[in-house]
Amino acid sequence: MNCSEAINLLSALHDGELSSDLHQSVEQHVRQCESCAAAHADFVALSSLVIEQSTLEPPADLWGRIESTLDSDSTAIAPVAPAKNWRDLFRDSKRSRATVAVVLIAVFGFAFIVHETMDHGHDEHLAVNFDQFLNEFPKSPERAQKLLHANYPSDLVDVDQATLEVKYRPAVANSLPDGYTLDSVHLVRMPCCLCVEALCTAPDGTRVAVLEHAVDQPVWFGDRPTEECDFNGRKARLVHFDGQIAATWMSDKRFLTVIGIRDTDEITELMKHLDPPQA
Amino acid sequence: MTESLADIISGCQSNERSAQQQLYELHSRRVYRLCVRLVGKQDASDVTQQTFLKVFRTIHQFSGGSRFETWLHRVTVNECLQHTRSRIRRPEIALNVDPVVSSQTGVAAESAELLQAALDRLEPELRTIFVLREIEELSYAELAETLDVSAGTVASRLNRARTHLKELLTQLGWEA
Repeated sequence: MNCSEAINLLSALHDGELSSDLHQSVEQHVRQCESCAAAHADFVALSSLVIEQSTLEPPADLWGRIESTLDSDSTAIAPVAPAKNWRDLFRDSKRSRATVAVVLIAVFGFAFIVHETMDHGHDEHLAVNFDQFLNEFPKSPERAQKLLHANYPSDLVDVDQATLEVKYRPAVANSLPDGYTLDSVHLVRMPCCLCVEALCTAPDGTRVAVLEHAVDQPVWFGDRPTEECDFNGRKARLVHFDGQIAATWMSDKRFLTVIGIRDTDEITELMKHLDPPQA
Repeated sequence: MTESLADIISGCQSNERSAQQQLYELHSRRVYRLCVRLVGKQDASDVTQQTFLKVFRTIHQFSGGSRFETWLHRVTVNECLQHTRSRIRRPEIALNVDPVVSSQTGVAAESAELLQAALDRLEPELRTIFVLREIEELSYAELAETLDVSAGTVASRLNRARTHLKELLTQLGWEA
């Protein structure tokens, strides 16, 4: 065994993670090689520096803070109990007219509140699900896509099927920049709309997701800082995450979001092809 | 997974508050300790809170295919890395972290502070793998599963983490 082979195995030797044969041969090399022995001794010394902080305790009020957030989560979508003995309210006709008015106001008010709270519930789930999607995308676009499809019903389609379903020609059907390939198109039933989600491969092998949706979705990016940029007179909202960029802009009556972008030049190029300026 | 932990997880999947509290009591020290090491003491309680909220909101996705502790480590590490990235994106917030409060005194306390100072300067991915190995004592197989990388990557990343950490400690005046 030589130094370049041994040096890569020093951590595994130190951690006792080598097979017995390999352990023996690396150990033998370390005994004979001064520089590898020194590197190994450094690893041993580092481990001895690590002293377990067993006295570290979370703050006493931490569970209370978590519980209060969980409480606000559940009240945001809690159903309202139906009124009891509602038939009694209609016993006499004079009182019933007033009661009907009160009930109608209550019903419409309740419907409004339920609609609002449902929206917030959806927003929260969208924020959580897209947070996972964005965390996963730089590591594995395919796994990120699977996560999205696990949370929302989706169908693998071709561009023509997508056009029939959503009643518009998806942007990825226009054209893609040179060297880009369209790998898959899915229809994803999001709470806001039926969204067209396409996965493409750039010439350098990196993956780009293109989502076309009816409603602007700033909630997708959670509390990540956003910046607004101008691309030849068109405003786009940019979010940086894990060395990549996501960008959203309005295209005609819909919104386009591209995820997994390397730099603003790539956005310009994608915009030019996916969403060419109207004549 | 023990029977009782399986029951607690099942209760959490049904949004039972008592089960959520039990899970918190079982694992909060470990999560908090990991957060202190990865994001610093001043932010550790906030990140611990975020981690448990994420756990309770997504625990229905835990299928039992891996050990619960591995899944919990993964959620904690992701929350810590996301927090670190957001701090990098907001340069107005100082990246230096408070020293970990230590019960040791004298030379041991100095060594602990020196180590934490060097860890804070280490790249987040290298810091994470070093802490998970040396402090949480995860095996290479558990590290690979938690960080979603191959066993080969675990070995080479740990090598880099230790080599770089040793250089940083030397710059800070440490003598092995």
